[in-house]
Amino acid sequence: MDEMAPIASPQAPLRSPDTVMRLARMGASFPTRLSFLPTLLRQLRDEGAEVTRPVWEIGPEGYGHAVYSVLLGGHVYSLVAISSPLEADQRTDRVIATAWDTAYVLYDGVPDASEIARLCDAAPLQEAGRFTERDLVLSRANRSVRLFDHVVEALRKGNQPDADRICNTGYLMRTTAVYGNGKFGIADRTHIAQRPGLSGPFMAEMLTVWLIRGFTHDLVEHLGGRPLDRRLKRHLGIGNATGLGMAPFLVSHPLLLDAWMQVRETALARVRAAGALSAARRARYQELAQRVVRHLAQWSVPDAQAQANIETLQDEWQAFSTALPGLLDGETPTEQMYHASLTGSLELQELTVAFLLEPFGELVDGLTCCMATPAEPRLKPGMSITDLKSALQSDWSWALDLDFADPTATHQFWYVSESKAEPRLGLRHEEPGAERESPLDIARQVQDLAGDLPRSGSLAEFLMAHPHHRAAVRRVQSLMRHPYAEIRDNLIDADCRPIDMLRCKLAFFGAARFDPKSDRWTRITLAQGAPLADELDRADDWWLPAFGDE
Amino acid sequence: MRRTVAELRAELLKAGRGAGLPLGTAEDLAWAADWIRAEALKQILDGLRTGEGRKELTAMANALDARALGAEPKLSGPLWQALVAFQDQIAPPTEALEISDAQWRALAGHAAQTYVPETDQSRLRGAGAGDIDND
Repeated sequence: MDEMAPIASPQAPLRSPDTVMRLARMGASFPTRLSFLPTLLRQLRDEGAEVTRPVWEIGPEGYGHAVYSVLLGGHVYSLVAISSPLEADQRTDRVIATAWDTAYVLYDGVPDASEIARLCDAAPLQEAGRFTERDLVLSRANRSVRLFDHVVEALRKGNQPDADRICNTGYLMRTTAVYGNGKFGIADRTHIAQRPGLSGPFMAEMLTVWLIRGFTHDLVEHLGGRPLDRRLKRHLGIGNATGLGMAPFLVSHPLLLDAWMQVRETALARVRAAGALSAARRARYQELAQRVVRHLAQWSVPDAQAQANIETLQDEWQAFSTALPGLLDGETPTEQMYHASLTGSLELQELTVAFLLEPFGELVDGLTCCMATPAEPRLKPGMSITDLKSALQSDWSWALDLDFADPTATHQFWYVSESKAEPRLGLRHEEPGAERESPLDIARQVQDLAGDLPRSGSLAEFLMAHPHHRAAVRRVQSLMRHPYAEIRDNLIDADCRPIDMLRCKLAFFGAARFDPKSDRWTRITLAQGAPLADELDRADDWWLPAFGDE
Repeated sequence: MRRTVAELRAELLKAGRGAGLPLGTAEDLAWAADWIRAEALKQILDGLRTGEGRKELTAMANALDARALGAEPKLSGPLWQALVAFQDQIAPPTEALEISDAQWRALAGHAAQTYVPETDQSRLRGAGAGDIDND
């Protein structure tokens, strides 16, 4: 904590990392106003950003290319969107796909004809293409075939599409990867990391996704021959299918994970200390609570366990909002609401955190500037072994208490498949390949380290004799200063559900309506209810939107 | 061919792991990617090939610790300079990162040692999703 800026606002104690950083709770995350997409849209609003569409070369069948441009922080960025025919048996959400309905590049500047031609060749190849430093983000999306076709057919007949079907699916296309930071030759993050508007984590990716959403609207209107009702359009966000590939990021970027959590937890601590509420704020909480009731009522998924959790949450939230008027009075209403949530499920608790933050933009939005961290964890060889041991005792009991002799504790292993480098999970005691596992077994690594540490002595000398503990030592040292840097669970246990890691990260992006398809991949919706390009003045009020609201 | 620093960093980490370096050493090499150019990469590739070479690379990462504690390790050469530049956070070179195809192939060869060959079972179950999604 000593590296954080001094905080002037009064605040309650931060929630303990032993509470916050458990997989089950991370898997109950909700988007907040600090999530990356809402942060970007507020920035675009503050700058009065306007999206233009200088190129629209889309044929009557819906194939061709288009360019969208927007000025942000003094730089123009352009989305180049390419739409191509795709056979139904080629349409998969997985990384192993080799063709897509649409492909996209976020371009630094305004592409001229030769650059557009280059991207029309390269972008549909995705991972097999090669890109330049002018290309900032690479993405692709497939149609949600049933909804896409329905919307086009309805428009062609002179009707608006069925509102229930729009509400149920919530998007016309799903992105299946959004690549940034130097992959396949696109610009390294350092190239844009200092630019106003893109300095926060995943801002270029979020800009891409929001512009893609606008393209999907334009495409159905083009094919349907008439405009889509604005209210329907607003509720068509952009889908995303996310698999295991996203999960290791949280483990390989511990300081970034800590920064995101620190910001959210600090925001919560500030709001909990807010004291008595104005009449306007009390009304705002009431209004938001009712919106959440409607949002939850519209969230239903095929997975039985996930649906049961949603139904529990619906009941809990109904009770919570019924009790709300009583909680809102008094000297410490935010603290009362926080404590009232603690008797409910993890989902209720995390939803309440996001709910509490929503009306307090001026108190918490400024914290988002602390969400990016340029540093890599540093090893401190001068630390005494005694100090390292005491850190192990105070921060790592969740790892040291595990019994790795029990086969269930090492039941799974993470690996990368030879086939298009797709990340996968295997069963250690049944499948080959564990000798090549990815190093996500942090708890086991740290327990091994603890077992080999001598009573005392020099850490530098210990590492010379035991260089294989170098990574674990660095993690233990990092956690001393960055308490939210580690997921405090065994990631190779039989009970580890990668979906929990995915949901946490996706919620930080701003995703909602989680629709898990197994314990290792999920669909989500981004930007549902978010402002369209010509209504950025709405950027401050679309958290957990409900269809049918204005 | 021009490579990005992120590509070099990711490939160095995998190559180090694939060749059998300690994870922490592979991380040190990867995090120095900003400062690694052809000659330093040659040193890494030479090192990854043999057990003796891997020991030297590992010792070099340990020498960084000694340096952090005030010693002056008797090391030199482009790779050591890159590691020291990372340790001291000297501004990285700005010229484009050009890596020959031969060097990249060698690096990718080591990285491939971290990939698990595909089986029917891993394709169907490992990622938790089917092959086709048309809904």
